[in-house]
This record gives sequence, C-alpha cells and structure tokens, in this order.
Amino acid sequence: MRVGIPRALTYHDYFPLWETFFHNLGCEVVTSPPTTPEIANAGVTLAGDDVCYPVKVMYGHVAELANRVDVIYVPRLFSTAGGTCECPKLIGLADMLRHSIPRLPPLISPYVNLRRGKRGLWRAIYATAAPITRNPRRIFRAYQAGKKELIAYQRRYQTGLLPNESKSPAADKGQLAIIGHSYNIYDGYVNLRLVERLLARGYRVLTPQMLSKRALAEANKILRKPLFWSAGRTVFGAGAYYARRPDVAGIIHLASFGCGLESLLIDLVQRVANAHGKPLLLLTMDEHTGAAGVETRLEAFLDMLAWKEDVACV
Amino acid sequence: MRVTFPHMGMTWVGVKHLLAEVGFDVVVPPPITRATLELGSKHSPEFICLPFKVMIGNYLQAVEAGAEAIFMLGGVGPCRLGYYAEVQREILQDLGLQVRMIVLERDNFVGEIYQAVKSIGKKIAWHKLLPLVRFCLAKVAYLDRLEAQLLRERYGERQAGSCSQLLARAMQLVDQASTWTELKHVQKDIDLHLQHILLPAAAGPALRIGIIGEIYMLIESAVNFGIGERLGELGASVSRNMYGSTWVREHLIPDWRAFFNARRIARHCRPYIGQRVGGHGFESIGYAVEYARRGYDGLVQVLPLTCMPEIIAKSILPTVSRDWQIPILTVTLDEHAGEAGLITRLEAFVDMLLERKNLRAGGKSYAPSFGS
Repeated sequence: MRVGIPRALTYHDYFPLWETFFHNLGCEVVTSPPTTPEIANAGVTLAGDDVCYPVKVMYGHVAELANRVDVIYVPRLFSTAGGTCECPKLIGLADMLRHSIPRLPPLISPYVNLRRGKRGLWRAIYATAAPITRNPRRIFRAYQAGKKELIAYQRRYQTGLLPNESKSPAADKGQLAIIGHSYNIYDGYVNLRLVERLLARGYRVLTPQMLSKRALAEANKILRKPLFWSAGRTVFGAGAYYARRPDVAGIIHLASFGCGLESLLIDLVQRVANAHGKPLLLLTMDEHTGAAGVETRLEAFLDMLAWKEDVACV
Repeated sequence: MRVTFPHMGMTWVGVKHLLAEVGFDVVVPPPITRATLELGSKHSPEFICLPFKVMIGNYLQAVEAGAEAIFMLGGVGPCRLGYYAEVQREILQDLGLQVRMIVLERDNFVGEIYQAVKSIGKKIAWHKLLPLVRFCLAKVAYLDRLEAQLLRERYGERQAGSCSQLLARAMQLVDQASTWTELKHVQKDIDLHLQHILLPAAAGPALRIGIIGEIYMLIESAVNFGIGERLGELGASVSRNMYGSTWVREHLIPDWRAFFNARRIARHCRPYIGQRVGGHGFESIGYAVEYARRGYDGLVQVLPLTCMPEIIAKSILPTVSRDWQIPILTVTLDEHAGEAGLITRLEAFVDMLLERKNLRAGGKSYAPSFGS
C-alpha cells in the first residue's frame, strides 16, 4: 500500500514517527515534495478564503499526493499532551479536506486524544494501522521503532542544530530566535527563506524546538492560567525563554495571517518581550507576502539591533 | 463593590437579577453601539475575533460608569473564548484601570463566587440560590421564547418595526419583574399586545430561513446588524438554532430535552464531521441538516472573522448544501463590516430564494431577461 504523507502542518513535528511507522508496517511511504509555488497556489485555489495560510498550503500538498497514492495520512489531532488541546483546524482538518478536494483517495485519519492518556494513544495507533494490519505485535513494534526515531530527531534539535545542518555554523553576529509554529519555521517557501536569509548574514538561528520540555514548561509558568493549546505553549514558552536570555540579540515572531492562536500569542509574546526590553520583529505571512517586503523589514530590524549594540558599547 | 459583566444578547436581564439578589451593586454596561465596537477594537489585538473586541468595549464603558469588578467566564477548549479573560485582564491593566477580573472557571466557579461575595461582607443564602437561579433563567428563557416567536412571525407584522419595539418593551418589563407573579403578568401583557401587532396567519410565510453560526454573533443583535429582523422584514419566517437560555440548558443544567436534542443533532453530523471541533462548529453543521430536513428554503451562517470552529463548518457546509439542495449564505463579520453591504447581500439572497421556490413550483421567472 502506498501511504501519502503531506509535507505540511504537523508533519514538521512528527514525520520521523509517521514515516518509520508506516515503513515498518510494510507500506511504501510517499511524502509530498517541499512546498513549491504550484503547490501553494493549488492550495489557495482549493481552500476557502477564511482559512489560515498554512492550512491552504496543506490543501495543496494533499492535492499533489491525491493522484499517486492509495491512502493519505491526515490525523485528527485533538490533543497531543495531557490537559491540552490543539487548534480546531487541526481537529477538523481531515473533514475539511474530505469535503473540499475532489477525487481524493481514502484518508487514514485517526482521532488522537492524549487527554485520555495511554488509552487515547493506543486507540490512535490502532486506528492508524487498522487499514494495513490488525496484528498488535507488529503495530507495537512499528510504533516503538517510530518513537525511537522521533526521540532521536527531537534530541538532534536540542543540540542546537537545524534540520539540514551537520554542525553548527560559525556565528559571528550573534544569535536570533525565531518563534512560531514549526510549519512556518521549517517550511522555506512559506516563510520566504527567512532562516537562510539570517544564516547568510552570519546569525545563528534558535527555534522553539531547540528547547527542552522542562525549559518550555518553566517559561510558561509566568502565565496566571496556562495556555491550553500545546502549540501555544511551545510558541509562548520559547518567546518567554528567549526574551530572558541575554545572549539572544532579538526575537522574530513568525505568524501566519488568519491564525486564531497567533492572534492571542502575538499579544502575549509582545508583553513578555517588552518587559525584558528584548527587540521583537513580527512577520505575518500569507500568500500575498512578497520577498522584497520581508527583506526590507528584516534589514531594518537587523540594522536596529546593530545600532543598539553600538550604543551599548559607547 | 460595583460589578459588571460583558453583554451577550438579552442574557443581561438574568445575570443582573442574579448578581443584584446575591448582594452586588450591578452596573450593566451601556447597550452596544458603534462607539463600543470602536473603543474595543482600539485596545484589542488586531486579529482576535469580534466578541473579544466588543467585550473590551463593554468593560471600558462600564468602568466609566463606575464598575470596579468584572465577572467573566473562563474555560478550556479549542475555542479562544477560554483564554479571553486572561488577555483582557492584561489589557485593562495596561490601560491603568483599577478593576478586578473575577473569572469563573469550570473547576472553581463556586469558590470564586463565594470569595467575591465574602469580600463585600455578605453571605450567600445557599438555600435560596437554586430558586433564584431558576427564576433568572426563567426571565431569560421567556425573552428568548418571545424573540424566537417574533423571528418566526415578523413577516406578518401590521406595521414595520412594531415587533422590535415590543421586544424592547418586553425586555424592560421583564427586567423590572422581581417575582414569579410579576413575570406572569408581564407575559400576559405582552401576549395581548402581540395579537394586536401581528396579522392573523393567512397565507404563511413566503420563505423559511434558518440562521446558524457562532453563538455570540447570533445572540447579540447589536453586532450582527439585526440579521434575523432584516430577514423577517424581507418576508421570511426565521428560525435560529441558538439562544442564551438554550446554551445554559445544554451546558450547565441537566435537561433531558436538551440532551436528546443534542443527540439528534450529533447524529445529523455523522456523515460530515467526525468529532466536535470546539465552539459551535459541530452544531452549525448539525442544525444545517436539521433545517434542511424540515424543508427550509435557505440558510444563513454568521461568524466573526478568524473564528476557528466556524471556518471548519464553513468548509463543510457546501457539501451539506449540495446533498440537501439548500442554498447557504455565509456572512463573515468584523468591526469593519458595513450595514448597507450586509443588507444588499440579504436582499439578493432572499430574491434568489424566492425565484428558486417559484421556479420549482412550476411558475414563470420573475427576472426580466435581457432585451425584454
């Protein structure tokens, strides 16, 4: 069976698990290529005008896979950690896709609810494997292998390396933190090669994924009421953590237009950054954002950081 | 302590009575106007949904009128409403206002209310609380029933605007009623008036339209430009799936009718959406099917811009529309929405529905063809 995995949204968080899992169950895994203008445009045409940009891109990836795989894997992520939930669009994504894209192959869309603890997890795993096998031993082994890969992948991040780096580059200008959803940070087309632009200028780039769970949980404690979106906890926690760090020159908040969570996070992160006097650049991305505009704003921000440093030196 | 709370349709009548009886000095925020909306948008995050902005406007106007504490609901779930209060507290603090936010969370609302009452040196008479809550709910439920009836029958009013006047009058009278007897008198009085302003049902409505969508935008007629009334004035009998009191019945008070109703609606959703998505996205789809089954002529979905649950419903509703052969108009509103634009769209929608119904009945097209 050929299983298609769209390279969008939560793919960037979980792909080692998903790919290894299906591979070990004897499936051929087909991942859609990194976002291209064609994929993004197809998504923008297929999706409604109200949905956020990353979901539109997801539509494009699914449409790209539609003709060449037997099933497509799109989980319904209700909750990925105890006591939290996900954005409604991730919960309803499979249904939205089913009703908007014509000639779609069947979707494997297990309901993932880890608020129910281990039981929720096992239900999700069995539901994922159900169309392929019902052998619990095989499923368990495949899951174990996948989990191992996922942990290794997360560990690699925590050594401070970006996905396609083997050793950390020489950083002569200092460190910048990019915070935002992983599907914005690690998708070079969606963020208009923001990470590469920074690396090319000699900055080291820090992302939320480079922080340990403990550091994020610690940083989240400044809120009176904990955020109940797990993505929100990551983004806000990273913002609060990097705002406190003196060796981080500035924070770039990468948001997408129409993101519901981000509408609150922008406000919360801004408050923390202000409290610590940390320079903050907010970049809101959608299909109309141009590279030149981003370049200009980035240059202005980096110039400002340099001046700030000069003033501090004098 | 002078307390206030955000507006949500006509629920203020019940909330005000409840808080006043418990012993608070209640400041009801001034009715929502354009100024409220502008004030709220000015101090709110840019891309937050409209209810947040209106609430900020409510708070600021109420504080100006002397409020010192604000009651607000919390919660946990995919919808942003659960986190409203936290950000609103920060915003009010940044503005330098000395107000206390009393946030009622699911796990501690008894404790919060107890603390708040204690802080004004009063005690809750616990044995009187349940009858009191029932009475407050009855007040709101009566107004909701009246509004539902007026929406259904407004197409037959003798004089344009008299139904809306009656509702405003009823709201005033119910607000003043403080005993069950008084409430009954008000109901009789209003029923009598109702017979005078409505034409005797003769031909029935030209159209039946259902309104679905996000609860705040449906209930608060000040922000949806009175969409139900407008459709009634255009000659349609209107049904709405959401009222303040029905929400309370479904979520806070066990009620078997509400339970079975919710189960039926969930069954309608099964072919379209697998699980709840927070907010009322699920219900919007369920009621779309419900109204289609009842043979309605069209549906209007109302949502605030960037509302996450309703966007999911919006992407799925075209399939419902195709399966059940029912036209659906989606209205997305934010603080920049204009009344004239909305009315034009509603008029066009109603014209389209009339034409469709007429053609299906085998009539001739109303629309003049080119050149004739």
